[in-house]
Amino acid sequence: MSAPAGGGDWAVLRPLFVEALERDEPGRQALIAELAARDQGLAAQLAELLRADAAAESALDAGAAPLLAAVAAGAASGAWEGRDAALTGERLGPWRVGEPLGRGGMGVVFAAERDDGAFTQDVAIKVLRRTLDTPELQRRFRLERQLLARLDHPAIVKLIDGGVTADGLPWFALERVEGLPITDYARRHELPVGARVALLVEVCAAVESAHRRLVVHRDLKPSNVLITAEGHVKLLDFGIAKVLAEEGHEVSPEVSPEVSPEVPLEVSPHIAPEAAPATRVGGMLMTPQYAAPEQILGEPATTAVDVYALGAMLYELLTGSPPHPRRSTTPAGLAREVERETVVPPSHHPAVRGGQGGTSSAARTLRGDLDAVVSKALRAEPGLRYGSAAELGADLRRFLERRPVAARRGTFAYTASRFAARHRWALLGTAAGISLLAATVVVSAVRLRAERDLAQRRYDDVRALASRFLFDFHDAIRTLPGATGARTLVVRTATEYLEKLAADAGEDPGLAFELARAYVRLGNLQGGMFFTASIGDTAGALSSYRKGLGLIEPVCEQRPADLAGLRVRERLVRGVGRVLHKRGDHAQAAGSLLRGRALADELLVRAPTDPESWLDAVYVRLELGDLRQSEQRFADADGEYRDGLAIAERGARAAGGDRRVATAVSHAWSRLAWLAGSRERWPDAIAAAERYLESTRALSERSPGDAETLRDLGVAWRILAWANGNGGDASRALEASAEALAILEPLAASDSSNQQLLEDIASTYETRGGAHARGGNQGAARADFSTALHRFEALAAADPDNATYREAVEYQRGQLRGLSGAIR
Amino acid sequence: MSERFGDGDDAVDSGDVTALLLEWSDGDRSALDRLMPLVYGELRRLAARSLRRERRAETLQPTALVHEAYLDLVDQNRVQWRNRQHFYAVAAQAIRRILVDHARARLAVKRGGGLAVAELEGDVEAPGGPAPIDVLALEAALERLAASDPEGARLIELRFYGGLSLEEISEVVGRSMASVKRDLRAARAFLHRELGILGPPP
Repeated sequence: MSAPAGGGDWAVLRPLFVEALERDEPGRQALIAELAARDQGLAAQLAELLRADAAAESALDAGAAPLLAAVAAGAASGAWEGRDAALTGERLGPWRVGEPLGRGGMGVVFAAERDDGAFTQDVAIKVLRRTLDTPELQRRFRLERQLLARLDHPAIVKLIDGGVTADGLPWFALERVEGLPITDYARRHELPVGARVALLVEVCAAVESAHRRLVVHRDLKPSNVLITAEGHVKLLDFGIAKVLAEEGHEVSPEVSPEVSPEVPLEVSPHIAPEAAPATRVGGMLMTPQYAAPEQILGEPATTAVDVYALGAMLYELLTGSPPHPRRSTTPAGLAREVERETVVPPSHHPAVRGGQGGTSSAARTLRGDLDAVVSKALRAEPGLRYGSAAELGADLRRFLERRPVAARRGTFAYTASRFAARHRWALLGTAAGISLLAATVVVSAVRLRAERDLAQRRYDDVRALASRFLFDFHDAIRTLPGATGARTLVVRTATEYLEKLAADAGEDPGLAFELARAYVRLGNLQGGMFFTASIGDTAGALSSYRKGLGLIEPVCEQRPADLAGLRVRERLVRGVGRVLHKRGDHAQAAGSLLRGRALADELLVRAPTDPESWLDAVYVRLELGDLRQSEQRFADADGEYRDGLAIAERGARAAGGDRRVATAVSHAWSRLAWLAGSRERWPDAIAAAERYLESTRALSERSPGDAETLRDLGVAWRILAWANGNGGDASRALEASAEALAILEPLAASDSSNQQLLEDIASTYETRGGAHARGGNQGAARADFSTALHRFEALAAADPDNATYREAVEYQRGQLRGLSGAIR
Repeated sequence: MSERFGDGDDAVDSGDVTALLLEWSDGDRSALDRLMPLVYGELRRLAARSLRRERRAETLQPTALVHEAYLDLVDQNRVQWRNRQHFYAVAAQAIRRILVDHARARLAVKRGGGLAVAELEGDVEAPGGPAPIDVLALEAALERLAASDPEGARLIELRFYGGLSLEEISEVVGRSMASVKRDLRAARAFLHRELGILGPPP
């Protein structure tokens, strides 16, 4: 093969090639001959080009599809980008690479030692996983490296050298440090609160030093803060640190790297670390638990994000876990979580409060000043946090010296403020905005119809509509005050749109499937769950579920092997059963739920590795049990609940610790407790309630600060209170009620239109009232039942269809009558 | 006593990508830098998810991937048709990066030693189809092409990596289909020659 066409050659060859194409075969030969007279080499190249053009369907023509498949296979099996460089034994610059020390989010770390005979030095070499190769990124990285090399603080691990491997992967040589992450160190040495705070003071000093040199760490977390055996702090991994200065401004040329002259820095044009914005690596945060809300929302990072991270680490040092679980793996999911976050002050944290309620001494130490300091560091609004790491360190020192802390001055709330109202209002928009949404959706549907690939776009339309515009929209506004009108509008829009599409679904099974799925969600929105008041439109829910069934049943008949369709059908059938139960049609509800159970069991057999299968099989039984209770068939209810529990326990093992399945176990226990109480078997009820509490507490330890789990914990306390109140220890009942309220009331305070919580709180007052009554304290009992009555009345007014609320109202009235002979 | 609802599809935030797309269309080149990681990440995620759904690795069409990524990432109410094509161009670049990075990483493994290597996924071959392309060789050839014919390289990127049709490409680059077709053909010949793919002598 002749030499490849270089730049100059192609500039000449190309027009010749184009001309040749326009000629027939003899004409081309003539052209080549002409060219050969002037330049043999060029003529040969042209001849080759023409042969290249004539080549039949090649892999190049086939496109990247087969390649993508191979890559996706790697991605799906989790092997994506897991191919770390295997460099042991190789030489990088003056360093000989040794064994790998560990693996991080961005690359592998190897031990290495100096190999050029100059002197001995042990370093750690971090090799990044990817090359980033635009000139802009290269330029920025050169800038960053200059500044990082100047970080010179005993508590910051020093950047010593850098370069790029033969395969183009960037590497850094760093001072080698051995130590434990700060949280592990504290745990291992069982450090008291004071010692932990003192460690963090040192960390603050190191971070402040970096900030003074305009370097923000942006990824502070315990694994980046090591404590050596001597107890010294070492901060790592300023690898994604970013210059604070404005982008586009050149750092003045007098700022030159003060690097030790014996160690030459290898400067290569290809060095570039992850310089992507914030800490997004391909759109996802690597460790969101310590990231400030503004980082998660993609806003520019400032020193305030490091302050937040310091606060999060402090929180973890005090309570054992970071302030927020931040479970989502998508940017949007994280953003949603962040907007609903509240901080449980360390002194209130379950791990700190200890088991039986009351105040442990640890809690007392934390309450007050440290709560305030943590709160101020963890403010969602960066402007409200400590202005610098130094200020945070100073306040912590004041705490240690028992002087008043600055954080307590002025007004503040224990719950960190929610993220700026502007985000919420942007989501809510106006009613006009929402109708506009509906209009554009219809318009875009019309426009799309004019394009090819209609069917595909329809599915995508429905999916996009169903999941994003309507339901995520709904989720976003669900708990906002005054959103009822908007929510109703959302539901109405969804209903109308789905009906428009349903008209065409007859001949289109794919569309029918998507629509049926959308109807599941719509029905869930309208009808809510059994104990929850949602929009509370049971008639609407029934209608939606039935429409969904009308669409999916033919699909299931045509495609009996389709598990996804089967699952949709199962959920629709269960939805119908649930709503019928809520409405009081017990016989019909039973029919649906039994059918649902058969479908769920079939799915479990056919898809046993999917946690969803386990969840469905458990919950359909819990729902059946609920129905049997309503029918007073208690033995049957017990059977269903126990079946559900057994399945959930098996599922928790089979599904590898899936959190939702573990939650299902706790829900099964709660049902058993409730049932035992209904049958007045109080010792059984208390035993089940204890199991319920125990399983919920385990879950809340796994994800502390999570509102849903906290709520479950609050409810578990209430159930325990209820069981004890009726059949056991009245004082234990009072304690447990207090625990429940202590958890639920702060949650409701920061989430004031969340009706589920309001219902839980009302029920807790009812329970406590009962405990007081049994204990002989009529006055307190009356007060609690009145509170419960007012709250349930409000709930019933908002959702008139909900039989549970009506019953609750009657119950309180009955109790009050019994107490005093007259309703106050 | 809370329950859980069915349907666990995650959504992705369209705000970022839409805004960046609009900025880029308005001429802000740096928006592309910021757009790329988001698109890149989304495509990877979709690729993995598609595979889980289909369970067969035979084909994964770039256009389907890009289309889905587009719907997921871009708020269609705010962008026009023109912007959509821009997105496709970005996605083509992102797919190129994905494939090249992947190939480089695998190469690094093959050349290394010492570290225990996780099982390599097998090469996927369409039975009876053309010999699979060497991504890194193509990448080198594409860079050589770009040195003297950046427009041609861009067309190949859109065609090979993005899977766009002639019509779509001409919309993205804003030229007639005829001129695009001609330039693509020239670029294709160049690359074939670089890669040693030749037809029979006349």
